[in-house]
Amino acid sequence: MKAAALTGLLLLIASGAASQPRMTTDFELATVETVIARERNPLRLAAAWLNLGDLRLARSEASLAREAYETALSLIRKERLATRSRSDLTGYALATAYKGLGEAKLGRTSEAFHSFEEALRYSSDAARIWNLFSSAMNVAGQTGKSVASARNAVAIAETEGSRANESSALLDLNVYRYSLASALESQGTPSSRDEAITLLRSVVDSLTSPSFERLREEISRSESFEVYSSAQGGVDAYISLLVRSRLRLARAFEERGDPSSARRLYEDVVDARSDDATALTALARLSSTANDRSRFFGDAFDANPFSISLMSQYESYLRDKGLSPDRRPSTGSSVRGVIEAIVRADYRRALDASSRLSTQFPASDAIRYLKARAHLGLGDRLSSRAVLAEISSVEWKQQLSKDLSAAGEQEVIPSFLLKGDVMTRDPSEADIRLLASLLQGDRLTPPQRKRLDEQQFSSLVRFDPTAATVEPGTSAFRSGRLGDQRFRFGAVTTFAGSYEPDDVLRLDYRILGVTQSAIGVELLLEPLKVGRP
Amino acid sequence: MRVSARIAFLSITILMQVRAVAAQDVVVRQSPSRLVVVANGPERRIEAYRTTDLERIWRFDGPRHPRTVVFAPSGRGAVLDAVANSATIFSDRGARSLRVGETPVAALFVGETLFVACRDSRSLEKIDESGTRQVLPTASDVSAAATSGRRIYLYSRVDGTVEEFGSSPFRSISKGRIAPFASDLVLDDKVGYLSLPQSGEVVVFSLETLKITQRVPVGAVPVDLELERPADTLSARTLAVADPSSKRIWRTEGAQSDTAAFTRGFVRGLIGMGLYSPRSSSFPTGVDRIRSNGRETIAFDSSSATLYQVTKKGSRQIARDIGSEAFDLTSSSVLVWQQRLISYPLR
Repeated sequence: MKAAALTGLLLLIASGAASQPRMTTDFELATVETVIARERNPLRLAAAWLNLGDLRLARSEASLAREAYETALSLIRKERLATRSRSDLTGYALATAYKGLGEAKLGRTSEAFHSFEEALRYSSDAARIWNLFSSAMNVAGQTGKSVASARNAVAIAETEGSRANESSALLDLNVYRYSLASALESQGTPSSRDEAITLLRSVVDSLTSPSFERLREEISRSESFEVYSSAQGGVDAYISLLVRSRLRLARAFEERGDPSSARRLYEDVVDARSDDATALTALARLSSTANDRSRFFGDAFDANPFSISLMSQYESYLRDKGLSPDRRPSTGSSVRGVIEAIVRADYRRALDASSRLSTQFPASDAIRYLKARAHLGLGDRLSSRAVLAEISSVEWKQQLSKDLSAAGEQEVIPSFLLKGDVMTRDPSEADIRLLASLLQGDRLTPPQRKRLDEQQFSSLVRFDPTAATVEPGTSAFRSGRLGDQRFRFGAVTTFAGSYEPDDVLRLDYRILGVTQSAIGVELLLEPLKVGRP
Repeated sequence: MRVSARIAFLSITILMQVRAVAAQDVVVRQSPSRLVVVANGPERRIEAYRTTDLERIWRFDGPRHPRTVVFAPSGRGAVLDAVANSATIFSDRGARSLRVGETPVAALFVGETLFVACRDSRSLEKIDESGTRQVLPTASDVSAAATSGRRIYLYSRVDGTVEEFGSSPFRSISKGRIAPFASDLVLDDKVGYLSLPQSGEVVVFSLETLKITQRVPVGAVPVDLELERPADTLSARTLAVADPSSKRIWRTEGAQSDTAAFTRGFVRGLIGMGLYSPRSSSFPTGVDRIRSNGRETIAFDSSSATLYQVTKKGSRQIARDIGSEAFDLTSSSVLVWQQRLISYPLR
């Protein structure tokens, strides 16, 4: 981290932790909280709360993230009415779009969609509203809408940019191209990934071109480095955009089996910002020597000790290589110490250390998770499950459920595996999800597996459309949804009867296993019969 | 309406898994067969009620996020779910859901054939009674659809074009660049109207040439259009324009053909007349949606979710905290969904 840039703010926020290097996320939190304390513009204040929520989420503090998003929404609602009351329809449209973004972050997809539709009635010419729409739909997993909205933002900005021809207009255009690339990546088809890479390359090339020389000088003078999800102002937007574009491009290169190009881009990110947790984790993953890996893991933990991805990668690495990294007096080091103790099966030490950390970070789901792991290792399932109940983050909850399940807890086996029924009608969605998780982790015992193979099930399902041609009076399906759980058959299967995709139908089936696809874990089913309920 | 402050917003893609919150997705529409159809998203139902006693006649499974309900002359209907990309076609015999292109935003029937405009897949789908489908490409960002005779007209906001399609044979006929970023489209006889909130205008265009014939300044931010009174030999069609910025509804006379003007002996053109002053407390935050049955007009304020009846002396609040599509106007009452269907008589 560039020390000079931190000095002023460290003086404000370092009390109580003066002897330890600060975590990047602590610094980012403090920066956003400072903005919140001084900001008077309602929408900028709401944007800061949304940023705070994002940072909390990155620290695995889901309940605090939710509180931040709700606070933002409350401010936005008031601003929305205020702008409307004073006949500021531009302000109203922007506030309504922000409302949509906040709703999307809270998982309220339908409300978010309708908020954006309302905003666009007044300001469909505003590229930034289309861009917010794209971001919100991407958060909500609506990638088709996200891509189309981003294309509109780019189209409008390209027209405006050709008129304005300023670096600020070019920066905006790059922001929108980045959003389009993000949406295309989420769409996940080969052609959309290719287009995303082309866009990201063009964004990085543009940002490092002479067009932004003056902005780079300004950044160099002020040594700015903040990275925000909702950046405000040229400097913030430029830095955020360059860092995020390089990270995404590097990730794409990694996925394409080009680690050297990926490494160069991650190094560019770390050159500009030496404490970027994502880049450091990636560099640890891509390092060829034990020393480099140890150093990058250490730096990544100091940057964000609460990342589920980092913790999981570190634990896997320890189990494979038995790494013994250097010790630094930092929170990151303490968290690594807990993971190392768990890997050594020294659960008493893991529990003591995680308990100390939990008093320091009472809202962290990551620390709660480690504590529950320690309880579990000590055979105290009751305490482990009590901690599970405190965890807000779905990701961490699922992770711990898997651990509990791996530890052989009877109560986390689907109820239909405890009974001897040959046919189970309408198994609960929770049981089906749990079974998918058990199958994915290959954690069913041989007797449980045998019992599953002997059982038939009957559930209400909705099928996805297929491109298969069928005879009149028949229907062909390959995949669908059973509640929230996706499933597929081994091949396209034709059924007697005319059914439409999305009809609610009753399917009799056997469960063969699970399969991992681009859209997640899907149950692999053998269909026996389909009919109307 | 221009944006002056420049703030760059950078997207994030932190995927959250959080509980789903039930949205107030309810649409109320009166059908040609004088039933009231309620598409109730939270309950995933489509229900029909008699207008006379609000007795429920039938109920079928419906979509989760209904936003648009349209009817064929026979009373068959379709509900669009723009979030889940579906069209649910219903009649008194049942309902069936079809997956359509990305983000179906507008639909209409020509005879018994359904046409669905899907904004984000840039497509117009034709679905006939047997379920056979045909698809044609459209311009980007289709936001409105309307018919005149057996022709279909789609307005594309970002492109600013109106595209004309034939329903049978199903084909693209012509396309004209009118004006981008309009908020509403209505057609009347041989002309179309687009409201442009950014420039404070209503543009009139010819359906024959797809070219602008008039640009008329109307208020500050005209958002919604509604044809109120049918044309006759004495007066032209009346167009109501919701302008939430001025907190007024404007009434203007619609464009007249040369023949019609000749019959009346003069040409009036479009003249704005403010119904309510900004100081009026009738519409404290301005209304932005209008519905008319030819004799009565109701107006809705989306920001405060308040529904008003427009009266000669001003306005009267009918209901609050309702969805922007959860009401409809019959010949004698306003039907509103407030946990149940309620009929408010017009005064």
